[in-house]
Amino acid sequence: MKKIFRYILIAGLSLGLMSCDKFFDNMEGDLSKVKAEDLMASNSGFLALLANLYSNLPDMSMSSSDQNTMFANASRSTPSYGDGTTSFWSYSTIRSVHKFMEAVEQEKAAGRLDEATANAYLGEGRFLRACFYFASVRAYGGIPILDHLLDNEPIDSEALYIPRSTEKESWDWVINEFQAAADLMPERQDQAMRATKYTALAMKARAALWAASESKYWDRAPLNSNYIAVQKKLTYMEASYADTYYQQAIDAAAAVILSGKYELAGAEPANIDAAVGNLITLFQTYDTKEGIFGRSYKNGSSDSGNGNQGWGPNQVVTGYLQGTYSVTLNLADEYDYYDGANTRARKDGKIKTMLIGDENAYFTDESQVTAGTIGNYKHYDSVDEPFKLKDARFQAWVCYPGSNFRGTTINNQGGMVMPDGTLAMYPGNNNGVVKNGVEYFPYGGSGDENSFFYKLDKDVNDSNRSFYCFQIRKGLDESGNNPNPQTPWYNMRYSEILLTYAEAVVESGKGNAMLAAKYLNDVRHRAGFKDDVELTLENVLHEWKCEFAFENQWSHVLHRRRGFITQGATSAEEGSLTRKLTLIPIVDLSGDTAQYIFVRCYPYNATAKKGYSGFFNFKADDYYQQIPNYVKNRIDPNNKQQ
Amino acid sequence: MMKTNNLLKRLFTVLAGLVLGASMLSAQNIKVTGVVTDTEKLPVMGAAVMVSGTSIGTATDLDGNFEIDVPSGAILEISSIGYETRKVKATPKMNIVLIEDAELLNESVVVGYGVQKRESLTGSISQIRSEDIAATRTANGVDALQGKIPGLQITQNSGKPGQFNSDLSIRGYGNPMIVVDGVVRSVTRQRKNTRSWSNNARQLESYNDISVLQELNPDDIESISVLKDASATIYGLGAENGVILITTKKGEAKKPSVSFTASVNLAQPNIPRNVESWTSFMKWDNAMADVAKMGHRWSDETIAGYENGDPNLVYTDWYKESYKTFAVNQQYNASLSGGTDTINYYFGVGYAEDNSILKGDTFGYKRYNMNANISVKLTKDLTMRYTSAIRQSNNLGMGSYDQEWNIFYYILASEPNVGVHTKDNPLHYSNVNEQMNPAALLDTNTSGYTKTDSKNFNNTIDLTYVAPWLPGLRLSANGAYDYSTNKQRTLVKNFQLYDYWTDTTNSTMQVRNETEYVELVNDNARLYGRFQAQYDHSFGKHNVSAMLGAELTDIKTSRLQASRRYGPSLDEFVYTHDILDQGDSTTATNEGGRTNTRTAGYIGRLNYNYDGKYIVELMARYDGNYQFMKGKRWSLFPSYSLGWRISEEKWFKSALPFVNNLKFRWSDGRTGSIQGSPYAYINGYGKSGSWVFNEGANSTGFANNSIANTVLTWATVRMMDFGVDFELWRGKLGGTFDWFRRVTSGIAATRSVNIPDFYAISIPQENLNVSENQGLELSLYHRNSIGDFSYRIQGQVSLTRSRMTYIESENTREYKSSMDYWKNCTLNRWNGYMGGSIYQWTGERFHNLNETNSSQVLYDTNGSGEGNRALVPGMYKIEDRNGNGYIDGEDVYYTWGSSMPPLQFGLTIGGSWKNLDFNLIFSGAAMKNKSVSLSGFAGTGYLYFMPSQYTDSYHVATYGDDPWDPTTEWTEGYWPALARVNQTGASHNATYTYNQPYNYINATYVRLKTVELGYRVSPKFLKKVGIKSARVFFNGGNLLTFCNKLLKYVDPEATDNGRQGGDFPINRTYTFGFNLNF
Repeated sequence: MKKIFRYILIAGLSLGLMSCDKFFDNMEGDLSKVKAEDLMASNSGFLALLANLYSNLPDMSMSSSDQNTMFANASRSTPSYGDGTTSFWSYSTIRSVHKFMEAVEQEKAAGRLDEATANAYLGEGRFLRACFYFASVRAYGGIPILDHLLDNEPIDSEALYIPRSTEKESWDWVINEFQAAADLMPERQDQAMRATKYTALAMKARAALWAASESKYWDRAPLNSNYIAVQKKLTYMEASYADTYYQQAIDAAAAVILSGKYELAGAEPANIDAAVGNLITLFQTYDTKEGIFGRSYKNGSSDSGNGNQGWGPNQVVTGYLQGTYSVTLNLADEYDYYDGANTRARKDGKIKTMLIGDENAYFTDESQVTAGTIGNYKHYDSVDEPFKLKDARFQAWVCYPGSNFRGTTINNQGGMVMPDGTLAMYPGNNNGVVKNGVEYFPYGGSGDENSFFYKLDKDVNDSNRSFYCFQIRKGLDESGNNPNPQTPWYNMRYSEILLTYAEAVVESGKGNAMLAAKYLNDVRHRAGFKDDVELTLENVLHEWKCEFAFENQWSHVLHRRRGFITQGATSAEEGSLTRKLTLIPIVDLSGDTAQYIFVRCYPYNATAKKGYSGFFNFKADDYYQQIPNYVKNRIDPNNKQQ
Repeated sequence: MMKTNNLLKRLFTVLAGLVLGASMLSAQNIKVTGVVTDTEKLPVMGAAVMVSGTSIGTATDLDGNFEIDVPSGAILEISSIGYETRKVKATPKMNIVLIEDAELLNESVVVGYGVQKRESLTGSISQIRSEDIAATRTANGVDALQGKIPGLQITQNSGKPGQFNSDLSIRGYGNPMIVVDGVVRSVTRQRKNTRSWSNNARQLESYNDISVLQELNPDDIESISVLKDASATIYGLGAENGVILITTKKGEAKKPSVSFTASVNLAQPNIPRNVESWTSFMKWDNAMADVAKMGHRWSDETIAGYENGDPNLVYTDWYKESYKTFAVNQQYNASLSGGTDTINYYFGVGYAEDNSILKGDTFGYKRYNMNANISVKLTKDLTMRYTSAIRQSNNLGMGSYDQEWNIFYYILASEPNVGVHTKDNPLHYSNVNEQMNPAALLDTNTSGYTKTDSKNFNNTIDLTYVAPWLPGLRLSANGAYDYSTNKQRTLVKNFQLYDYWTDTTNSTMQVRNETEYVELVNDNARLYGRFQAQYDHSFGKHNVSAMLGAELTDIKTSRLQASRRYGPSLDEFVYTHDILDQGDSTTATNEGGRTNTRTAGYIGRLNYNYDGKYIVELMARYDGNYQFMKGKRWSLFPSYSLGWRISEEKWFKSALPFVNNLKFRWSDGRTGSIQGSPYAYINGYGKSGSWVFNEGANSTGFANNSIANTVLTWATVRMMDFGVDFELWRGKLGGTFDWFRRVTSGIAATRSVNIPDFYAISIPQENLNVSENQGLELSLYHRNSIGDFSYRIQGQVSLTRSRMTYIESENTREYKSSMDYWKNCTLNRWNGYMGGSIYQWTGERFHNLNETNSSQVLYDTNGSGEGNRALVPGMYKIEDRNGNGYIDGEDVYYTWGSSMPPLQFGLTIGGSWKNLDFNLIFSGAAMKNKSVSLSGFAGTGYLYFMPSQYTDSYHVATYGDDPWDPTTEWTEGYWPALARVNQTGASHNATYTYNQPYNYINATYVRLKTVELGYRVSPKFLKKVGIKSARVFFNGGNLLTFCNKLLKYVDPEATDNGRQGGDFPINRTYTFGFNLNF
């Protein structure tokens, strides 16, 4: 008994006398966080920090905004970049860059990282930082340039307040940083989706072209000269700056081209089908030859993807909002025709719909298509006939009526001329009519869900429908209705560098005009054209539009060239249109055989003629975003008068 | 002298002989058999039956029976704790009724780390006993406490089987700590997210697991104590919300006895199903369409067809297809207890179930409990007690939470003019409204399930040493090891619906894209140790007791979750079994983690009282917690309390002799509340983003987004309580009154300072904010007996409110206007009051369209031009409070919110008459509004039913009249004219856009929570079949509710705010059972 008592006493004493803190010292610690020294113990720690930085890069996913070349899905009244990040005011990511660079410097100083490796990391850090600042300058004009970590400053320190640099200084800084990064970075990386010396140079070319275009065309949309930001040149560029920037763009683009590291995928195709095939394949798997910078969604797990599952036509996807990413007729008209399947020289791309009458007149009511006038329309034997000789890029990247996507014929049709010659445009039912032993439907195929066009009676899913007969195909998974498509995203393709060179040369007269023309035509030849066009600004801009449709580039072109429709005025040079246009394929059963006519019109529906939707209407002020928290940050705002 | 001596000797001899002779006679002992009952005819077990003035005695058994041989004519003294001692002359057959000790003052009350007599309590502690808990028959232990303990606020949110979705709070503080047999047993755990609408079966949420209270077997409970004030602070960090102490039953030294209780319970929704007939609905629906200027959904021919019983028209009553008439539940409890001088034991086993009111086996709950309590006297001074509680529960639910959340909505939304299965194929579920079919959802083979399997093993060992060398000193060591696992298997199946008429299907009738199976395993262990010394001593009128202790707790949890899928479309659908290995390995995911927490503390308490009149208690706790950095881990939390039993003063006794007890109490104590997250003092890197550097391989990103927090520590919680206990006329009237206040200072908040974006990190949180709770509690009781009828009544009411008295962000914010301040500043405002967003009205309604159109005020905020024309008759004329010409967010007014009501009350009436006994328990709440949204019933234009309640709305006097014709006559009602809303057209209709006064309904209610009627069968009859006693009972739950008649279909207590699709209704139950004792 006494023994037991003794044990209790000992147990009690040991409990009572144990050193207080020891009990808490030998715990596992915080398992949700990793200490810096554990993380930096290996290269993969640096890669982990880089993974976070790369994941914050702007412009790294397809934007569904309709300014990104003729998407027709939405119409907004204010400009929005929406390029994969919500804001370009990315000082928290800038801090992460600085934390990364600090870690590299520390490991280098401690001798755990050799000089060459450390420099390569530092170069990559500077490249990423320049990317964030590039996006920032482009949105806000002159920005506060912070190039070091502020963690150790007290929170009431004046050193926390960084003034804005002028816009020119900001551009110069960004361009120089890309060059400095390129000087430190390796020519190749072990990882395909990681930036190299040439990625940095390519970005430099892009930034320099932006600065150059903005300088040259700033006056197209001049800001109010009473603005503080204009007076301090925070949101101000002038034509005299342009030449230097064009030269920088030419030099950087030339360095990338001459490196020989990149080439166009499927250059000089044998025929149209080969060209179409190459252009489809390019967007299925990341092509490291053509891709200079991009993002892969093949992460080893099948349950995550790029989120564009529902973007295809209604017929081949399921779920909510399928098929909303439709494409305007404006873009379809932009793509040239080949003059023939073999000669493949350029021919104007406007889709021919009329035999007699004005090709620029637009449908307003049914009386325009009657037994009496039907002869004015050009009749095609099949619904896809008008598109068969279109630019291979159109055929590869757009689902057009009668095209075959995912093994399904896409039926985008909006009406029927009945055997008696009356027009049933968007009829309330999809009843078939038999002609020559074949059943034809007003909406192309049988059933409700087979139709893409505007709703039938009792159709509650009208948000799944569209006014447009073209939908996006570029970048969508060709293999099937995969819930998590993992097709890649190109931030920068080699063809952009070729066009950058061409544009810089044609705009400035500097550089090699012969090479510039060759580069322009190299891009066209990959799309199946055999002829050469002249190096003109119009031709260069035309290629920007056709080559980079749905790649977020066209809005950048319009932005840097101040080419948006500004206060109602169209920049004729850029070819902008104020109205979105559509095309309605209609099957004509009034003749001996079933034929197809195409009606040009403004977006239309069966019950009401809605107000048309247009493209962006910019004010000059819209070229510069509002400065976030400018009072708190003690910096000058944009758009504020003296 | 010699003679005298002889005489005396002789006399003595004679006397001695007489005495001896008499004693020889009386040595013929009589055998006494008897039964001891209380005034309610309930047996008193363990009562001591002693021959007065001797040590001869016995104790009554479980049924109050005793047998004893006593000298004839002996006086028997019968005593039992809680009863007044009686002295009765022994007779062969005895029926002794013990009267309950009126003052109840000798009752032992379980307090933190010990037991105290009620008379010497200075804290606000309520205790209830086993029988009071068991009077409410429910599978949820929390609901069994509702309305019984002052200050313990309980709101039953739904009747979902096994979900135990009841809010539990002491004085409105939040989740209390649960202590079972001396060990803290509430814990934070993770489970499948029950709040997310996401279809992702893999989302997790943390929750405070109080299943140890929810899943207790009431028959195994000895008592439950609730520590509501500074008396809780002895449990240290984390006890700021009060503590619930559960003590389980122990054996007693007597013959083994067995008790068995069985009951069957029938449950049905408390809310009646009262919808208009199908034909009436169709007319109402058309009328609603008229108001909304939409087309009719039902033609006159269809309506006529249904009215005339056209056999070609299909009618499916989805309610009947989905609901059972009753859910049938069984409950069995058995216990064995007994003991000898050295070993006492108690074993209890229990089984309870909570089945779903919905058809199928989609929902359900089963629980098995086993409790063992063995106490062994190892030596004269050393006792060891081992307590083991084993609990297993199985819970069933749907696989997809989205569908689970919506099942009631789907039942209402489904079209009755379509069959359950397609016309031609009884195996194909038909596609009804919203691509759903309630019957398919309730079929687990079709839609999937979530199966949760929880196992808990709680083990406690106590060693108690009573020091022989220092009377009054007891040393004890306590160790506990708890282990629990929680396994969840979630299967969300892809399934196909078919068109009712054609039996065809298409991709849009496919429910979900993929079949997914998820397994989640949680594993938790708690190790606890305590050493404690207790010393009690009395000298003269001074009574002293002191306690010193030290304890530590180590909790480890781990979690592993894995999932796989079974192909994206029906064609590739290769679902086999819910075994991970059989899913597609390329879709495998897995997640996991583990945590470890540790706390330690030193405990000290000193009690002193002088003559039972003046009582002082001093307490202190020195607490350590792993969360904080070295040097900030330990802190001291002192408390004190005082008591004065004025009724023990001589002058008081003589002046007011009918007052048995009057005591004033004051307590004031401090404890800590954990703020922030653990290890915030370490500046580390956390996962952030990811990037694919090489195709096919993901790189997880890491980032540092904070700076080390070296300033944040726990918040200090000060709890104050002033109380009065009284009892008059020996229990005819008694009660307790408390005022309390709790101030929590140092709640984590970020200091409002100007930091530019370039700094790019948020500054660490500091201990800045202050909150306050205040309230009153009153409980009163009355006991009496009239002849054979005895009864007791106990009522309690509590009012608790809370508010923030300092909020850093609001205090430093600039307010643009008084309206801005009123809407956005909650400083010093009581919670739940100003939070509403009702519009103030002029007290008048629009009665017809002329009035609407001629009104001056523009009910328009978006400039669409519809303005007043969107309003319909029956809507209130909303006051344009700021006079800006239109109604917008600046015109809102306040109302009570619909959170936990601050005023709650309960009333218990119990009694007995001869062999009958009864119990009535009422509970209720006030100061709460229900926000009843009209759109949930009729607005979406999607639903296919019309609640009869809404027939009390403005409508055109003659069916078919044009509501937009100004000459149309209207019939007035409570609700405004109902209008259909086209779902795709969004909510443009003013009926649903503005919260009008009719949307807020006072949810004050009184509910007859429990009715129990029992009948005790005559023991004589039962003895023949070997049963000592038997009782049959009926128990009714939620039989009656008194509330605003507008809440007839919306439970005033439940969280369901009228959508009738949110959650399971609270059940009304009918329980029949019996109890046998062997």
